[in-house]
Amino acid sequence: MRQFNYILKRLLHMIPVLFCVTILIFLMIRLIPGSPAEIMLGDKATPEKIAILEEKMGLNEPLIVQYGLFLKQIVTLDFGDSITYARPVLELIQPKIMVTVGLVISTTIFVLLLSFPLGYLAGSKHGTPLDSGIKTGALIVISLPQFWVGTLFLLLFGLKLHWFPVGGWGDTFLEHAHSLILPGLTGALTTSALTIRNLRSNVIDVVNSDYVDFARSKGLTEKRIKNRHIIRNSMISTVTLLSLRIANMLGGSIVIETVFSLPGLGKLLVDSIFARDYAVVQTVVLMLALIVLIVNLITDVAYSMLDPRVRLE
Amino acid sequence: MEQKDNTSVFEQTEASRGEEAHHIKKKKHFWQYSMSLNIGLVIIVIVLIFAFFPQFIAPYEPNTSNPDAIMLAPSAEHLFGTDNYGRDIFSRVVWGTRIDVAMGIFAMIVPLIVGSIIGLIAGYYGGWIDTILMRILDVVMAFPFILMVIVIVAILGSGLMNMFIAIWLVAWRDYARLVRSEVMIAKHSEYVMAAKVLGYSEIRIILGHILPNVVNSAITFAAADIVMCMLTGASMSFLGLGVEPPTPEWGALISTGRPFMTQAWWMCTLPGVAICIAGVGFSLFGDGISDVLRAKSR
Repeated sequence: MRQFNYILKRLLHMIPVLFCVTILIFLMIRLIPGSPAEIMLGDKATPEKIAILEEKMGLNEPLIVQYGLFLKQIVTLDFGDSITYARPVLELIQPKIMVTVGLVISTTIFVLLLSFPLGYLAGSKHGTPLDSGIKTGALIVISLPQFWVGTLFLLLFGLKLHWFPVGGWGDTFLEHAHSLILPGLTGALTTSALTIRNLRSNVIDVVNSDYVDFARSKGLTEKRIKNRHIIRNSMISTVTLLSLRIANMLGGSIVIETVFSLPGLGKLLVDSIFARDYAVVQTVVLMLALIVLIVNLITDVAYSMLDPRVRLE
Repeated sequence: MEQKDNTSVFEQTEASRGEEAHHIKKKKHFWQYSMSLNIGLVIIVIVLIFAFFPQFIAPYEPNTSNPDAIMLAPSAEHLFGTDNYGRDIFSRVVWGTRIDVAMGIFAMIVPLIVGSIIGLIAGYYGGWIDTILMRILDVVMAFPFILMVIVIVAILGSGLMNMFIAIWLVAWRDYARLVRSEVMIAKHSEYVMAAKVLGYSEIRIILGHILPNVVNSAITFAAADIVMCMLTGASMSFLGLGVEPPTPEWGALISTGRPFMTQAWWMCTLPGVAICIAGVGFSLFGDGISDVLRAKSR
């Protein structure tokens, strides 16, 4: 019951934020200097076409009416037609959401695989050459541009060694998973570097804490202290950091999808910006913001299950 | 936030040990606090020399094409090889230093100042100013950083100046949040109470008493933020939304080299080395700054 209440409370919190997000996205197109219709039509703009599009977009109505129309569009999932693809935006976007979500999942898996062992190792052996090695490595990795690392991976593992596809997304689940390995690893590096540093300092704090001393003086085995006390407690803030980073991973996916030619939301966004296809731009931005909000909700709920104290706040 | 993560007990104890020694022995010079700072500074000085005097370092003109030297592999004559127009890539990388370093520094400075001022005001006065600010932050935080930047550039049009404006419009949020939370703690401290009792003006309390005590965390964040801003700028140019060709910029150089990946691997790989070196330099500098400020504050 308490769990249910907590989820409900979090959902209610989301509503005002969601509302403001729609206002921001709505204003986005209206802020374009000059007539958005003219810019959207680009070279093809004639006074008649502009007038038709302005009418269609409702640009002649007062702002508040336009915003009402925009909300209605969102609720009825009718996001208009893409100018470049001449298809409904929703139809265009649906298959791409899977790619981007897949990329974020792949990235998260790599972050977990990289950061937990390395962070724990560095923290439990702090002050040793191994620790400084991991620390220095993390610092260097933070300073690397993802688009460059991705390009290097593509060159080495794709073009040279043929271990992974050079671009695209495949047709079957296995092909999808296969083509997400390099992009996932690329996206995971920066976040891993941050979580490794975070986990490392947590482990050092926990190892020197009173409750670990107490557990030891109770005569618990080192293995039990490690599993039940050190690892669990040092993980809590790292998990929070990781969930906060998911928004960044989504942002990073824009660059990574372009590097690996993955047909996801990010690549669509960049392509649509160049094509001035603002109906698509608007919807993609809305989708990405929605994904961030949903991920935040899920992590909050999962977190409240892991650490019951959160619910009492 | 990222800077706080690397605070470790080990480093703290080491720093405090250093501080004890400081009281016993003679005063420490700033370069004795942190090895990272020293290495970072050396790299930054080299990078700055490249940025200020490219004409003395670059062996060729960055934008002059040479039909006789198209896509030559790296050699003694062309250190990083040449591109599809026969331009010397090393020279282009050298000339690009100026733009990328400027992107890192200028994109960071405006949000540092504006964000800190907003954080100071919201944190000190609280009330409705603070409530409105926090709601705006909630919404801005719902978007990934680079997504916001891309969307603003999409509205304003691509180009270096518009990219700066986009980063400025987004990046203040981190400083505002950071400074606000520090101010909330500082304003209840004894020295602020004392200043109030003495009848100092609010401006004097904010600028003279609170600011010096909260500015450290903003500076620590800013030092690490230079790398973030530089990488964001390079990523934007890589996507084609930042610096316009043929201006030599590191991200754009990698991007123009990508279609030729199979024939000329050096075009898309070697310019990245420059970003790495500059990035590591600024990261080490950021780490070092946080070490020094931590040691000094004790």
